[in-house]
Amino acid sequence: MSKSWLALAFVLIVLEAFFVYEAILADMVGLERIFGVFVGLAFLCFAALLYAVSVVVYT
Amino acid sequence: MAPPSLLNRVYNRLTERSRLGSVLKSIVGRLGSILDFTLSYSAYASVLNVLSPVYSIGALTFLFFTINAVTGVMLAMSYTATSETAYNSIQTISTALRYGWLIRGIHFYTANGMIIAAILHLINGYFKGSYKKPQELNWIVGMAAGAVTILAGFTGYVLRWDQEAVGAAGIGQGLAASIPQFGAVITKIFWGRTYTETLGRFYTGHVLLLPGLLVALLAVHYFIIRRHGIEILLSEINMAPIVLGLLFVFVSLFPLKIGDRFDPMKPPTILEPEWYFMGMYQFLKTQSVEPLYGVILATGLWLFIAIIPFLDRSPERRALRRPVFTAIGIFIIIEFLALTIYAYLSPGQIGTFLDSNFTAAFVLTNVAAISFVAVVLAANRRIVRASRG
Repeated sequence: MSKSWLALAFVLIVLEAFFVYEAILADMVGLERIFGVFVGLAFLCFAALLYAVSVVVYT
Repeated sequence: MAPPSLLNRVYNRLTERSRLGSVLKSIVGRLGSILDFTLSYSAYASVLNVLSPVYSIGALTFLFFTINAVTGVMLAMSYTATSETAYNSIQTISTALRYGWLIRGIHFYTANGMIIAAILHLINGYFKGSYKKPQELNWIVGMAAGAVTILAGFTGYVLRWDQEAVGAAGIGQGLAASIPQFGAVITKIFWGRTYTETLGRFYTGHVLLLPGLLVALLAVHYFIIRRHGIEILLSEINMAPIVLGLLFVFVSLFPLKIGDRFDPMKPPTILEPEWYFMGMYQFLKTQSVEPLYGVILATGLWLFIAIIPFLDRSPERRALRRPVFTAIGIFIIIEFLALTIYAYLSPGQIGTFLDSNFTAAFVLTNVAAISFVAVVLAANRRIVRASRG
């Protein structure tokens, strides 16, 4: 794995930690925001899987 | 032979007494074939590069519209359209209802996304010559759908009924009232006499009339595209999870804020419309520009683009080989962008040539626009010479 990918992963983890920390300190909406982010990421993973399946199976 | 499991026995009992089994098999089979078709289409399209964002921008516009319709229905269940209660209902949706803020945020961002995608779709079609024979009618239908989209955005903005929303309704009313002969009738019909009448009319327009009109126009748009043998509907299925994923993440990270409650005794000192009206707003707040000029500019520009298939009648589609219309397109885009940017940089200031910043921005914009036009004309000349040589 290249260093740039590791740097990107580190930045994302720091951002996510800040976000989760701030959201937990907030209120009920804060917890809902965490759920919203993870639902969004789940959709993106599904999209990636769909694309990967289409490439692997049909080409 | 092992005895059937409990699940098997329940399934057998159910299927013995009904056609549930065959219905289930049929549903699973159909879903499988749809998925199979979608995936194979996705792979096929990615090979042909038709899933590029530019190719799919029209489908993306429709996807935004679909998400808007679903979230709009959800919001309408909790929204009350009277001037006394509208703001409170927005507050309730955003703070008290579970995931109300998420639905409202998705509705807001998809509405803006739909307008951006529609504008990009228009620009793409303009420079690719997509309006040429046999797509003339479809171009006009698309332009009508674009106008309805902008109106839906405007009416939706007013429904928030905060300081800025009421101000925007007032600016719109002023523009409509400036139309000679018909101004008074138009404002009476679409704005009414009281705030509650205004809100009621905007709500009806936003949730019933404009979406109904848009569905009809988009149906015609698709029908004509399909008749010309262009297959684009399925690209939307591939985009849906990506768009939804990005929306969920974006709205959760940047939730919408609620504006200040409308107070008729304390009108806001600076009024700013939504971003897509900022260019027009800057034009209107230039010295000695009357509201009627704004109406004439907007209507004239829309009419010019709508009837362009009948002005640019050559069969040539390549942008640099029809330099006049390419140059006009570039000129309009640069002027619109410059007006929009300047409006953001000078909130509440009247544009006048006595202001050196305004004069500098005016000169620079027009020099840039004329330079781009000159580049297009020079490129065209070179192409023509090369083809002759």
